[in-house]
Amino acid sequence: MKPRKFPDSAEAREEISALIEMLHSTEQRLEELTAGEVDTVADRTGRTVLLRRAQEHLRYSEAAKQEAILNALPASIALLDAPGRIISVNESWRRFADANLLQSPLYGVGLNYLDMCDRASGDDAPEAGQAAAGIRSVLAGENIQFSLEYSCHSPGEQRWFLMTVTPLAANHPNGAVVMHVNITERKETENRIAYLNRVYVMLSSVNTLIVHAHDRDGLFREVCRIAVEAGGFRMSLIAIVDRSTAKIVPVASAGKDEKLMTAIKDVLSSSERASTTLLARAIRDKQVVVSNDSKNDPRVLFVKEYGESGVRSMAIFPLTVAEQAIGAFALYAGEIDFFHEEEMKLLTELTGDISFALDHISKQERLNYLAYYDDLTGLANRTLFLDRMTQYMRSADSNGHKLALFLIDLERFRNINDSLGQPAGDDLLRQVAEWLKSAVGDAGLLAHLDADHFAVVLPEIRQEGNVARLLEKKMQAFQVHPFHLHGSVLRISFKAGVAIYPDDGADADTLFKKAEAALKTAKERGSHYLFYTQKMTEALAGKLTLENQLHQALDGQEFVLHYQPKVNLAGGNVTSAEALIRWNDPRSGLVHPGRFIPVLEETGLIHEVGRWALHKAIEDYLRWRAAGLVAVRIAVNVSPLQLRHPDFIAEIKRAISIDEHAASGLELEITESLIMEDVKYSIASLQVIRDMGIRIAIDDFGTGFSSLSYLAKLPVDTLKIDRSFIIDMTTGPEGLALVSTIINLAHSLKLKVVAEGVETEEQWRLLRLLNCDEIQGFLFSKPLPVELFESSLLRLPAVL
Amino acid sequence: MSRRVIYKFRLYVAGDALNSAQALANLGLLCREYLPDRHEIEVIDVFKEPKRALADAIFMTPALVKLVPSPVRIIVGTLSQTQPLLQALGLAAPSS
Repeated sequence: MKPRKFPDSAEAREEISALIEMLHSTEQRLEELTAGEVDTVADRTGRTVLLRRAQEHLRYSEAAKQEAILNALPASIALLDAPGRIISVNESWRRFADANLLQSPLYGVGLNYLDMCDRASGDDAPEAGQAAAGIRSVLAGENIQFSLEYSCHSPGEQRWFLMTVTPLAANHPNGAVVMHVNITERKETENRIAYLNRVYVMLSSVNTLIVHAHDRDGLFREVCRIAVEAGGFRMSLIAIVDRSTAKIVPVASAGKDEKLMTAIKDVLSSSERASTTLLARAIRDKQVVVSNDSKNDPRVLFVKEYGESGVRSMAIFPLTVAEQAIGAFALYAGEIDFFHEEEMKLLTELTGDISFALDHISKQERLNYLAYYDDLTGLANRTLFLDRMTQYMRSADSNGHKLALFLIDLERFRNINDSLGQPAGDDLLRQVAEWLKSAVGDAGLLAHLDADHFAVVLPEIRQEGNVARLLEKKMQAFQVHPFHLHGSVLRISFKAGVAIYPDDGADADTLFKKAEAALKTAKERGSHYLFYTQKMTEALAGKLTLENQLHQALDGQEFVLHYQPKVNLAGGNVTSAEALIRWNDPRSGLVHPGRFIPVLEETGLIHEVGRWALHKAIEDYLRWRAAGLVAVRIAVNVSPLQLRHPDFIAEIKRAISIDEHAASGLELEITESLIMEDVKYSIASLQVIRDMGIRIAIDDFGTGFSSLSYLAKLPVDTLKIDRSFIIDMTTGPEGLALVSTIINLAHSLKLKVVAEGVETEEQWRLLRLLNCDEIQGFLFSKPLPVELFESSLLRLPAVL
Repeated sequence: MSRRVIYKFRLYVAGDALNSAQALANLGLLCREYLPDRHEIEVIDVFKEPKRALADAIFMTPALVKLVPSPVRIIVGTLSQTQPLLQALGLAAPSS
């Protein structure tokens, strides 16, 4: 088809305008004819001639549809032009603007959105800045989409929005669509799920913990840790009501800084303010206390401190055991409004689980207590006591000492129980337990076995005699102790059976049986106490009798001094005498020192008896002197206990102070082994004594282990050869050589030598040959009572 | 006239232009009320199938063609005046 050529002339233009005019009028006519009901008209060839009205209508309808769609959307939408001015908004935007930011009648249309963002201030400024930057990037064509989630919290509620920005036209940036969608609900759901998840994780961790928890402190510490680490809480705290002071004491916490903890502890310890805390409130009311906006909650005490630590909400759950609020568990969240119904349900369940665990632990403890302790007296029961016994036995083994077990049976208890009633009996048992505790000094050594039976262990004994003595002493004290029952005073006594480890049994059970047997026998025989080993009971009984008698002997002046002379070998005259103690027992006559000296040493009576001997010897000497007799020097034996006593030197000083001549009549005999035990101390104290004018003799020489170098330095005058050497002297050449050597040694050290226990002529002869200075023994005289000594020996002329 | 006669219509429309949409809506209403289960409607967009309009000698839209029963009739407009329409379609007696 050839294109039609239009004539380029005014005539043609006229024709064209006439045709347009006609078309227009035709159209109008057509409208009139069809009453506007027709959309199109076609010509004969079928070409559609569009009616303008229809076209416009179409356009209008398109725009209306689009607007309707936009208005129907829940999102707030605005169209921005290239510089960022709002050119159009939808219905949601208008509503949002009404409620919110843009109070202008046009809902912000015509304002520059970017300027508005730039001008934002306060909490929203950072987010507004991000939004502006995002919109600019889309308007500049740098980004084809930008989105931003932001919060817009009003005092009443928390709201979240998602802003998306897309270009108006994809190809050439000439504006943007800004859409805000309210995602508060989604956000809240997300948060709730996250919160719930945290609580679930915590719940499961705590439940795992509870299964394994055996002690309160560990449980509390772990629960707090889990709350912070697994539960995502800012802080957690467990406080317990201290029953004795009725104060709330924090026992475990996690995530709290020191400053806050100190502040909390301060408040809880102050009596007035403590009751105002939420902790106190939760415990008092046995009700959960929730503060979902701590910053604005007048009930919260440390608003500032919590704020600084990032705490926004808190909940305090009472810990209830057997319907008693024993404490509280506090959780602090970093989010406002954390504690919703679901969380509270789970956390309440969790607190219930903790309470259950606490109850379980305390029951367990109670069971443990009942398994090992006697509920009435609080003392160990038989099981625990046997266990302790075993341990004490091990310790006795390794330290090489013995152990004593006493079983105690109260006398007349059944009568008391029957006549005064069981509560009184129980009361008495408690008092007896208290008495035993103070008497023994350590509740760990005691047990209450049943009814009126108690057990005591002495974990370390050196000598059985001590055990019996202690027991007698305690029994006497017990008998006079006033027990108060029903306002009246009651005195009772007990019987005891004693068994000694390891002598009577190798294990706790056996020892127990032996002690029980001893107790039974004691009751049958009416004895106050019995040792399981009969011999021991007897021996100890004898010893104790002896001890009492020795006390009486001292008081009743039953001790006497016998004197055995020492004789000069060359001249045969008496040079001095050894004072020997004797006990003149009115019941049995003279008692040999070998029987009672050890008891004196055991009981410490040796000090008093030793002092007595010293004074008596000085007294005798001074009397001889005054009477014009041959006053020979008297040697007094010093026991190890005396020498070691710090007051010994002062004691001697006092003794000789009665007369200026007292010292010249006194010699002290000290055994070699005793001197050598602490030779430096001996040298020093002997020197002091010798400086007073008192002579010193080494007794039993040769039985100890003298060091020759010390022997030369010892401030002594005399050396007494032990009787065993004198006996051996006549049995062989070695014995003789030994005595010869000792004598030569002594002489070279300028010491006088005395031979002890000289009983035969032969010994006397040999000693004279060996140049021994003096002898002492039955050959010349046995120890004599003072009167006899005086009359038979001191009246002879003596040469000093 | 047998009650079982199926009416066959052909409606020429101009896309979704307002009058056309109204015509289609009115035709639908009328058929549901007066010819339930006795009608077939074919809708032809003249913009898409201009040749069929030419074949039926349709020069304006909206236009309704009643094909069956005979006689064939063509009605132009929005079909909003029910009574004259029923008469034209032979579904009502002429008003007195």
